[in-house]
Amino acid sequence: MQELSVPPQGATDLYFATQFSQNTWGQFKSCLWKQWWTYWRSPDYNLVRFIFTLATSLMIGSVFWQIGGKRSNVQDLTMVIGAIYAAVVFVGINNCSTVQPMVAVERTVFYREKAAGMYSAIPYAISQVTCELPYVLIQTTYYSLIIYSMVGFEWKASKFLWFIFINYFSFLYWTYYGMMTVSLTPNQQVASIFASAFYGIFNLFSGFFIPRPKIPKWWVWYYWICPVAWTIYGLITSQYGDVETPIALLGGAPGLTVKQYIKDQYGFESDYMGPVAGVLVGFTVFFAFIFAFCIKTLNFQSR
Amino acid sequence: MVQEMREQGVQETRLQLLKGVTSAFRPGVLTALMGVSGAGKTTLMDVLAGRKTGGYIEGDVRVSGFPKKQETFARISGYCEQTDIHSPQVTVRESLIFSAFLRLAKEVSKEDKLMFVDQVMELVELVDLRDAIVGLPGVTGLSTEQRKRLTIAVELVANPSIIFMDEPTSGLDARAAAIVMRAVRNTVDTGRTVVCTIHQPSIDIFEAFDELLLMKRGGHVIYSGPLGRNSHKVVEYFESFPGVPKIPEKYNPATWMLEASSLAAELKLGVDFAELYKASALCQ
Repeated sequence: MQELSVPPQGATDLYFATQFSQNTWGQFKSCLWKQWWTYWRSPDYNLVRFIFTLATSLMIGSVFWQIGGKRSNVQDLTMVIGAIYAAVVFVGINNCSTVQPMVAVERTVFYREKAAGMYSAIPYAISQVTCELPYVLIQTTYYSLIIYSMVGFEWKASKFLWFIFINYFSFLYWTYYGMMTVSLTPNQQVASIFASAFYGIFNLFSGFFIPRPKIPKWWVWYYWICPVAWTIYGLITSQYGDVETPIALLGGAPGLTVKQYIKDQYGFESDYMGPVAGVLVGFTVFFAFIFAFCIKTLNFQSR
Repeated sequence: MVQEMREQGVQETRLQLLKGVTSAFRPGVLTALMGVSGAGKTTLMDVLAGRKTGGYIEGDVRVSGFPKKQETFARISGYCEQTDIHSPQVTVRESLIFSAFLRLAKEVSKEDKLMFVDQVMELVELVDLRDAIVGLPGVTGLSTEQRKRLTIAVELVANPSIIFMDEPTSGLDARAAAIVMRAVRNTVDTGRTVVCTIHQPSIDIFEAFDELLLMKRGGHVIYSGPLGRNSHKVVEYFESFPGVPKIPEKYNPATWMLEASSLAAELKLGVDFAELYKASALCQ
């Protein structure tokens, strides 16, 4: 024993210049390769959310059939806002809850592979985040086409592109929010409870049930950090922020325009689209970052 | 420590799981780590492999005489965990390629890595299952036994110098266990260091090992040394103590040894095998 506990004469300690055999890019490529196949072979995940999105968009589209162009009175406009709000929350929550088992299962494998020194946490987390991009893009594209044409919004390229852009980042942040909840909690059950705790709050402060000007001052800060609020802000403003046609409001001033109405009622400024876009991208990056950060720092294994 | 235990007079705030374990594992020598459930076999392995996520580790782990550095050690060691955890939606071959690409040195060419993957698949008889989806345990995909072989293969493709295996033959039928043991034996014969915990080994499996580290409940070592031909060294060691019954004819020495050193046997004889081991010539 004593003999074995000292290095043999002339021996040098083993030394590797790098901690991992592949560099970060190599680790990312390998992780992405595996995640890519995993996603492709998980129809129970991808098909379910795709079919759900299809059904939701057809349902919303037929319930709110061709009302996008009706903006001569307040009731019609409120209905459109409700339709948009409902669709985004439906699909968003679905994205959030379907992604959880996927991430939770892969995380158990991640613990073993990380302990084996195969890769560091960040390339792994980024590969999983990257895999979502094309799938959510497909989802957003057909969702937007269906909703846009069935609800009958104005066919103007800039408005349609805004619609796609806002929906894309909204669905992405919902998905990454779901992934983040898994990375913050020990298992999928706790993650889904944690996630659903915020569904109600996101709902309440989305700016539809209580328009922002009506939220008490001491709660209005939550409106500004509620991602759903920014989605609705963006969707409504991009559709109606430039509409100068009059809108009928009982007891309202004559000659009230749609643009003025959404500003008075909801606080939506038409020249605020730049910051809205920035914040939506910001939420997406933020949730993805927290996911990666927690995957790296938290370890819920107990050995 | 739980409140109820403190009320019963337990003073310590930490529970000691391993007590004064000293041993060495050498290259080209296949060591079995045995003991009753709760003896601390997995704990010891986790400590050695650096897989513990909680608790406190005291003492000294050396690799070739140098203090162990976990980053380096992770590169040269493999650990087959007791639970076979694999990504469910990739194939057997993809799992192995993934492991090989991320763990073999950068200097190794892509062709060599793939060739190595194919060789390992042959070694553990996974060639027929190369394109099978791994699936979820108990639901889809590979059976328990195939999964075990995949776990071992995933570690072998990393070409580690030191391999820990936590119950590699548990849950396998005799033939599958023999395949696994043959793969393990071949690995050892290439000059690698392999340590296996093992439960209820058959005589054949038990005697495939060269050395034995036997632990008893509470994390004490009660035997550490060579098995000897037909396990005669272990048997002679335990039979040397007065009162220990002789091993019956054709009896499995692994079973006999666990029975002879059990808590019940200790109580009957009024001895502590951990103390006896410390005083023995073997330990000196």
